[in-house]
Parts: sequence; structure tokens; C-alpha cells
Amino acid sequence: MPKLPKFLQFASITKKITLALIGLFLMLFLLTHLGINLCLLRNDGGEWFRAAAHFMGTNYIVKVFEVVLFGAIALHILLALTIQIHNWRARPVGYASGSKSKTAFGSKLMIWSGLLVALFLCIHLVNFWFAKVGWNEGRYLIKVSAIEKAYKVKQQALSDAFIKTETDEERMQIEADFVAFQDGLEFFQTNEKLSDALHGGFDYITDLSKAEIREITAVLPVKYEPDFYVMVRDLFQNKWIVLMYLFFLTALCFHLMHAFQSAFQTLGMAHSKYTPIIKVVGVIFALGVSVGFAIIPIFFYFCK
Amino acid sequence: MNFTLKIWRQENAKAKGRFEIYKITDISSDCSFLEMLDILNEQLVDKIEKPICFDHDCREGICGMCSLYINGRPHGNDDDITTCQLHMRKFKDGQTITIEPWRSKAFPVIKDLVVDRSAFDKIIQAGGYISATTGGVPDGNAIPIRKTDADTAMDAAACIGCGACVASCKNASAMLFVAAKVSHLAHLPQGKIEAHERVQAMVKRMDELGFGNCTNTGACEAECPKGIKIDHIAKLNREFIAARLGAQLPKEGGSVAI
Amino acid sequence: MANLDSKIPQGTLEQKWTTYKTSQSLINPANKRRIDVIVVGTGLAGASAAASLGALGFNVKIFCISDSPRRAHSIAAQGGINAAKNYPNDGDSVDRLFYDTIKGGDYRARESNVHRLAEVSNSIIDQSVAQGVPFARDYSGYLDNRSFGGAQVSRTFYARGQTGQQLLIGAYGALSREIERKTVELFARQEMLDLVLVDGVARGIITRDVTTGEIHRHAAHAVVLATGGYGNVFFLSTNAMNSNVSAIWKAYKKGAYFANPCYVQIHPTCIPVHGDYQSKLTLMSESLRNDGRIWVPKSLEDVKEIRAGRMKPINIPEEGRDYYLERRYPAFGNLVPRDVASRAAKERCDAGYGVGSTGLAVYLDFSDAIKRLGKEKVEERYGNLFQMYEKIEDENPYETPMKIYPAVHYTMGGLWVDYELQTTIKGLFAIGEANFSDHGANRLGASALMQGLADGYFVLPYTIQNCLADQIQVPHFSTNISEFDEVENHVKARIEKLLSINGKQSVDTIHKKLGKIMWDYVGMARTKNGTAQAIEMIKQLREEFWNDVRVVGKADEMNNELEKALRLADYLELGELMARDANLRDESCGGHFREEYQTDGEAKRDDEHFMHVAAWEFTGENAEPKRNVEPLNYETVKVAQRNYK
Repeated sequence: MPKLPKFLQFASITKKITLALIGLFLMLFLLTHLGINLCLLRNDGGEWFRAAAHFMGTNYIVKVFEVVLFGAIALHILLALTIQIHNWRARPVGYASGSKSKTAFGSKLMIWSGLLVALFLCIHLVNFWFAKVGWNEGRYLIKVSAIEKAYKVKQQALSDAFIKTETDEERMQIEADFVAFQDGLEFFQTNEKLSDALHGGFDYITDLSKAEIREITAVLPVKYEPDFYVMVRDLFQNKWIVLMYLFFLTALCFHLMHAFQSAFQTLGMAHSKYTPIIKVVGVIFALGVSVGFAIIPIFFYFCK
Repeated sequence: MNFTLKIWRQENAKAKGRFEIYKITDISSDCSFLEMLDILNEQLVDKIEKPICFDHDCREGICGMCSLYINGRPHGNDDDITTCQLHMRKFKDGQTITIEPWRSKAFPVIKDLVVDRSAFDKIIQAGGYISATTGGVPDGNAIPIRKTDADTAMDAAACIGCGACVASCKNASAMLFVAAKVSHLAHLPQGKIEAHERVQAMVKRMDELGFGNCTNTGACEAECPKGIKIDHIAKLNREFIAARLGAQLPKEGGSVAI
Repeated sequence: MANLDSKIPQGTLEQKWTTYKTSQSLINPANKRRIDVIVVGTGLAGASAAASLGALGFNVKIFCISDSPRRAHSIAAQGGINAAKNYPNDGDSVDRLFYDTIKGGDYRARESNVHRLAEVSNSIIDQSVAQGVPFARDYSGYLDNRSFGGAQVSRTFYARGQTGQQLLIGAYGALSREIERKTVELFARQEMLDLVLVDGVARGIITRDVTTGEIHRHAAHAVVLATGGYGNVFFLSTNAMNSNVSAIWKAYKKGAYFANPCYVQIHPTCIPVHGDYQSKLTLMSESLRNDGRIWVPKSLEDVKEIRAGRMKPINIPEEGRDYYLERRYPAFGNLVPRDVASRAAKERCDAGYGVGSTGLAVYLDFSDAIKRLGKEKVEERYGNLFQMYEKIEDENPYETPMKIYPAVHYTMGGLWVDYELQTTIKGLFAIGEANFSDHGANRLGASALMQGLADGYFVLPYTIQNCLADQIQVPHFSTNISEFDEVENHVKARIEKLLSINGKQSVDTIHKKLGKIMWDYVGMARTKNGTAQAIEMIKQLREEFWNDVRVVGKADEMNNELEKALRLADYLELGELMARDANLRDESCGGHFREEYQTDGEAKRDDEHFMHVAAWEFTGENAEPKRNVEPLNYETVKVAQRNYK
């Protein structure tokens, strides 16, 4: 390995502590993610879940955190790889008889479980996050209130413009625009999904395709969001995808089993009284998080 | 008892090694593992073959010289012992026993089963001591030390520097060894004076010598013949964080990686 | 006789060391840098000396045979270290420690040296505490003490069952610091094969790198030998496998006198021998005698049943047990000095009361202690020793008594040194177990650590300056001089010779034969005839060795067989000298027990004829060595028969 410049050479323990701190941060994220996911289980047609997803997708503080999160994940992987490569180099010749020393559960698999989790993350991002940034086609939703708001804004804009007109030419133009706008709105009435939503008193117009979104935004510059609820529901109708998710969640479980307690150890928190508690909490956390996540695909596969 | 031995043979540090198979018969179950090797060596000498080199000295589990990796475990299949304290009664009659040297970049093989552990000395030289020059120290009872602290210091100080922690660690990490010394001295008032410099200098030296990182697998703790706990590694981490936050410069000038 | 000047300073016993220190020559810091000192051995004495000399500013080179200085056999001392701190307020003092040591040594030690030892004993504890040695403490936070054989006060400081290890780690730490500061240079895995004299002054050594077989030369203004004892002459002993006599033996053959070679300490509490494959005896700390009670069955019937395995020791009722130490020595009981306890065990076993499959063992029983203190307290005190015992014997000492038997442990004899620890060769010093000075004919428990560290930390750093003050003008030595050529050639020739014999017997086979002769004739009990016989037998065995030994492998590689052969060659000469010394010392004293000289089974000294040190002078290969004498004058102590009753 080429030698890193001096300012990039960190002490082994510094790297480990950073890894642990990031790990704990990622665990907090997992908890948040799980909390939102569990809303999916509520039999409300996705109301809570969409509300939560809406908050996460639009709040500015959350957006900043999103960047931090991606940075943290990247650094976590980078550090883990650096440490691992160093570790492999520390024993150029291995043992013929393997190792039979007792070790903590999952501790020797961290790099592999970690890489699986990283792979999982990529797949998961392709499945969901790509639709958000538009790299992938997903399903989308629009808030009914947003349509109303956009309608009012547009109408107001047109009437403001009309008042300000001075020449007939201008007036004609505005009127033409207005007619076009009204014609466009016809679409809202003719499209079944839209009219149902608008007249049914729903909060959202859900399960929209990209084409539908394009048609809508051509008429009204309305904000739209990915409809994760529908995407989740649709995705987990596929048996293989459900099994794949369960497999990767098992890897996550293995990773967390060791990660939780290990992070505390690395941060120097070992105590005859509290460490056993931390260990138990770690197991509960690992199992809780992975089982919690695992319920979603199973639930959707069997119940929706 | 009879055994088949699969032993690593390597002419010298540069030579390529290989496993050799030896049969040994009629071994008493009260025989120690090293005595079994002595018997094998006597037989090799009888046949005008080169005996197997292995490190050993006190043969009572305290010098830390013996260092064999036996059937997947440093010091063999028993807890809280060194190789010299392992007895043949722990094996099954007719068993195949694989004997390898410690494997680590920082512990190169010298010959057969003998490795060079001077890296440990170098880590200690970096600061694993209290700089008390002979003479001019206060009375032994001048500074009372809480019994629990003295006992914890003793737990850590029990390290015999055999290197089983490095040998057992999948990362060949020396953290338990370094931690034992740092923790031993950090628990004593006398050792607190230089604590910041010590931990930074020792970790720096450890990193330079090519040991791996600790990933908290606990293999070292399971194999340590003196039962040193990885709690001491947590203490080392704590000391390291305190030293870094204290932003002390390392001993004897020079710069250390953060 | 004229050259046996022990250089004892004038004045009363209490004043001698102070007087010496205030009037000795010192070397100023700038000049210290001009002086090179070689220290061989990294045990307590060697490590502490090198660290102290390095800190003073000398250029020190230190050599160790193992891969690290921390492995020296001082590490194996379990029980503790004595000091006259009188922390428990039980009446201890420097004078009492001095007196106990002289008495324990059976009035065969030099008064002035022992007093100095007692004087500096307290500083050792202070120094060690400052270095972070984790001595046992009580709940107040102050240092704890335990009692040890041969003393009626509690003056032994201890660090669990690993006192030697902890003290050595302290000294090793101090040494490591000096290595980092580059005042000391460390040479590991180097074995000293010979001493080089230039104009009769010790100026260097020849070493062999045991990893490559290369022969190296090292020059200095002075050489300090801290290479420990020679108990391995018996093949089976509690000494480490690498402990050997070669360094001091080479010094002897270059003109240093060897004093009292026959004083060998047999430790009473070792794990008994199992079979011929045994390579090493394991010591169980003497501190066990604090709480353990030693016994054998009273009736020979019970003994028979036990040996046959039909009866267990716990089944023998109280009245069927003979607590022979308590019976014979009511005042000291199980805490009599080592030589007394060892001989008492031998006496019982010889009388047929020994237990174990071989009949060469006695019981050390903790059931009373467990009843009195609780298992937990016993475990706290001796846990690691019990664990060690269980690993070896496969028996749980909490439930069944331990079996113990005496084994060779320590050699009080060694190179003769004067008050300044200088041998009869100028510029050659011997410290720690390698010298003969402080223990007389028997060493008390917990005194070896004390002596090693006293020599290294507080004595040699002073006295060596006095001896080297005239050397500051002498430039650094080159190793390219004929004296080095000559010794190196000699060393190489010897190695070649050993490799070329190609005989039939392995080194260990011959060593075991030597060990048997030594144990049978120069062991725990000796006779005039036996020792005379031993001399002849060893001569023959030496002949056999040089004609029939088989050393496989080459000179220029790591070769354990060659190392062992080189050492055995020296043991075969030393053994004879030990037998000779035992033969001519017509008395019993301490570790030297001559069957002809006893009253009621107790050692009988002959102060009139043997209150002296026998310092042997080498007179040539195959020539009889000369026995010189340093009379011992007891000015302060009233010499009496040792009485532990």
C-alpha cells in the first residue's frame, strides 16, 4: 500500500474510535428508519407512513442530515476497509489449523457482514432512493392540498396579470392562457385517480406513474414526492425480493450483534457492572432492529 | 499414548517452511507437551536428524518464552496456561496434533517454531514504564494506593509477554499486550504522571511495528495464559482518548499521528 | 591468600557502607560517557545494574540469552522480597534482618556484605513502588506483608504469587527506558561463550548469536556477570532450561575464584518427579508453608495403602498424621528454613513414610487453612499456585493435600567477590546469584530478590565507580586485537570439536547421568566417601562426553543441541569442583549436609576449622584446583548453633 501523506496517517485507535462513533450514529439512524417503517404496519392506507416520509423528504434539517448520513456511511466503509486491509497484512502467513479460539458472536465476520450490509444498502437505494432523485422510475404522490394551493397560486397569478394588463393584446394573451389552464384542468376531472382523490376527500393522490406526473406538472407546477408506501407494497409482492431482504437483514443482525457492544468497548466504556447490561442491550437492539425491519417485507408479501 | 505430529519446519528466517509429519508412541499422559517434544527430539538426534527448535525456558508458566500454536489455539487446548503447562492428558490417544509457530508480520519466524518477539520489547521501550531513576524516590508507603486499584494494576501486570494475544487475534493485534501495560501503570498514582505520553508513544510504536487493529473479538482474552481481560483494552482506549483530548505532545518530541 | 583481599571498609558494622560511600572515588558525568560496561544477564541483578549504570551515564551493553530481557529466571520467584521496613510494627529492624540472614546462612556469610544488604533492603521496596510494582496492599492502601521461613517477623513484600516477575518487570522497565535513551544497548539471544582479558583485566566477551550461530566480539572497560546460578548441573532443578554456569565458569577458568561451589539450596516445596522424561521441576512458593501443614502418615500400613492407591490422604484421621515439622520444631513449625525443611522431608521419605507413587513425596495440607480462613481467602493468597499445581498434577489442592518434595533450587556459591563485588580478576564483577556473597551456606526465602536488586540498584553503581575511576583515560577498546583473536579461535575450536565427535549419546543422556551422580552424592546429604567417588565418576563421565556425545546440526545456525553441549561441557567440570568442595568441607552447614556431621539429625558445624569461605582457584586443565580460604570474622554477631526449635 502506498504511504499516505502525513496528515492522513491516523493512529489505529483513532480510526477505531471514529469507526465506533459513526457506527453508533448509524445505529441511531437505523432506529429512526425503523420507527418510520413500522408506520407501514398501521392499517391506515399508509397515512402515517406518508406523513412521516413527507416530513423526512421535505424538512431542511433532515436534508442536511441526509448529506451527513451519506458521508458517515462512506467514511464508515472506507475506515473499515482500511483497517481490514491493514489487519490482513498483519498476518501474511496464516495458520494451517485454523483458529479455535473462543470469540465474541459475529465478531470475526464484521467485514463480511459489513460488506453485505453495504451491498444491501446499494440495492435498497436503487429500490427506493433512486426514485426520489429521479435516477429510477418509481411511483409518486401529490398532496391534494398542494394541487389546490398550486391552482390558487396559478389563478391568482393570472388574475394579477390580468389587472396589470394595459393593451388588448396583452389581455388576449392572458385570456388565452386562462382558457388553456382551464382546459388543462379538465384532465383532473377525466383522470379517474385524480378525480377520486379530489372528490373523495383524500389527502393524497397516490400511486402515480412518472407519465402521469409529467401530465400533471404540465398543467400545474405542483410538487410531487415518491410514493414509498406503494413502492414498498409493490416491491414486496416478489417472493425473491422478500427472501433477499431477509437474507441481508440477517447479515445486518450479525453485524449489529457485535457492533453495539464493540462500539462501547472501543470508546473505552467497559465496566464490570454496566458492560453486561450493554451486552444484553446490544443483543436486544440487534434482534429488535433486524426483526423489526424484517416484518415489513413479510407483512406486505402475505397481507397486502 | 500415541500421536501423529504435524510440525512446521523452517531452516531459517529466509527459508521456505513446510509441515513434517512425525509419529510418536508410548507417551505418558502425565508428560507435559514440551517433554513430549523433548522425547521426539531425542529420537531425532538418535536418527541423526536435526531436532525441532522451539522456544522454552522456565517451564513453569511464568517466563512467557514458550509459544506454540497447537491445533488452532495458542498454548493448546486448555485455558489459562502456557504451552509448557499443557499436559498430554488433554489430548485423545491417536490424535493428530498440528504445531505451528506464532503467525504475525511483527513476529517473523527465526527457525522451525521459534519466532522473533522483539517487537514487544520495542513497544515497552517506547514508554511502558515509569521513569523513576534509581534512588531519590519516596518511601513505599508515602502514597497509599486503593486496594482495588492495586489489585487491578496487578491483574494487568500479570502479562508475561508471550504473544498469545497476537497469535490468537485474527488481526494479529497487540492491543491486549499494550493495554495490559498501559492499564497496569495508569491504575497507579505513580504511573499517572506520564500517562498521556506513555499511551501515545506506545500506540505509535505498536502501529509502526505492523501489528493489526483490535476488532474486539475477544480471542486474546480467551487465550491469555494469565487471564488478562479485554476490559484493559477499553482502559487503553480511554487513556488514549484522554491523552488526545489533553493534546499532550508525545515523549521526546516528534510528531504522532492523531 | 594474599590476593583474597575482601576490602571490607573500616569502622563498625553500621558505619562501613556509609563510610565507604563517603570516601569512595566517583567518576564525573563527562567521564562516565567514556567508559563502556558490559553486563551479561538481564535478571534482577543484571537489569537493575544496567539500568542504573545507564542512567548514571555509562555506555552499557547488556546481553541476554533469551529473546527478551523480561524472561530471565528471576521471573519465577513467587513468594516475595524481604525488607526491614517494620511496617507491621512487629519488631523488625535492619539489624534483625541482618541477623536473620546471617543465622539463616548458618554463619557462613560475610558480615559486612549482609549488613549492607539489610541496610539497602528498604530502598529496594521504595524504588520498586516508584516503578509501579503492584505489591499487595491492604484496604488502607498501605503495603501488606507476609511471613516467610526463617523469620519471626512479617517482612516479606509480595505481588500475588508473582513477586519475582513483577520486580523483574520493574527493572526491565527501567532498562527499557535506558535502551530508548540509548545509554544501554541490548543484545538479545546472545550467549556469552568466553571472557577476554587484556593484560589481566577483563576487557570483553565473546558471544554466540543463538539465532544464526555467528560469533561476536564485544569490548568494554569492565564486565559485569549477572548470569545467575548453576543449579542445572543437577539436570533436574527448578532453574529455567537456559540457566547455566558457562559465563561464570569461563571467568573461573580465566582466573576468577569460585567460592563455596558446594552450597546448594534444596527447596522443600516442589512438585515431585514423575518419570524419566521429566525435564524440569516446578517450585511451589515457600509462602505456602505459611498456611499449609506438612505431614506424612504415622503408620507404614497407611503409607502402603496410599502408595497402592487404595486409600486417600483425606481419609487418614488427624491422629494418624505425623506433622513432623511441627513435632520437631515447635517454635518455627512449618516455617523452618529451607534446608531444615528439605532434610526433614528426606528423613521421613528415607524412613519409608513417603507418599505418592514413588514414595518420594510428603503432603502439604490446606484443609485447616481453608477451615480457618475460608476457601476464598486461601484462593486470594495462593490461587495461582493452586491452579498451577492442578494443571500439573491433575488434582485439586482445595480438596486433597498437595504432594511436595525437595528439589535443587538455588546455589549460594558463585564467583568470589570482594566488598565491591569485584572478582579476583580486575574489571570483572559478579552480582546476584552469580556471586557467593550474601547468603552463606543457606539462603532464606525472599532474600534472593533482595540481593539481586540490592547489588544492581544500590551497590554496584557505587562500587564500580570506585574501581573504574582509574580507567577514565583508557580509550574505548577495539576488538581487533590478538587477545580477542585468541579467545575467539579457542571458542570456535571448541564448537568444532563438539560437532565432530559424532558419538552415540545425546547431550541430555549424559546430562541426566551427571544429574544422577550429583543428586546421589552431592545432593541433600553427602559423605566423604560419596563425594570422593563422585569426583571420579564425573571425571569418567567427562571422558565419555568428549568421546561419545552426539551433537547434530551445524555451528552456523540455531542449534539447541550445540548450546546444550557447550553448557554441559562446563557442568562436567563444575560438578567435579562441587564434589571436591563438598568433600573437603568436613562439617554440615546450611545447604551442605555431611552425614558424618550431625547431632540428632541436625546439622553440626565445625566453626573452629571451617568458619571460612573456600575460594577455588583454577590451576589448569586436568590439574587439581587450589582451595584458597577467606576467614570469616564475626565481630558483631554472636555465633551460635542454629536453633529453630
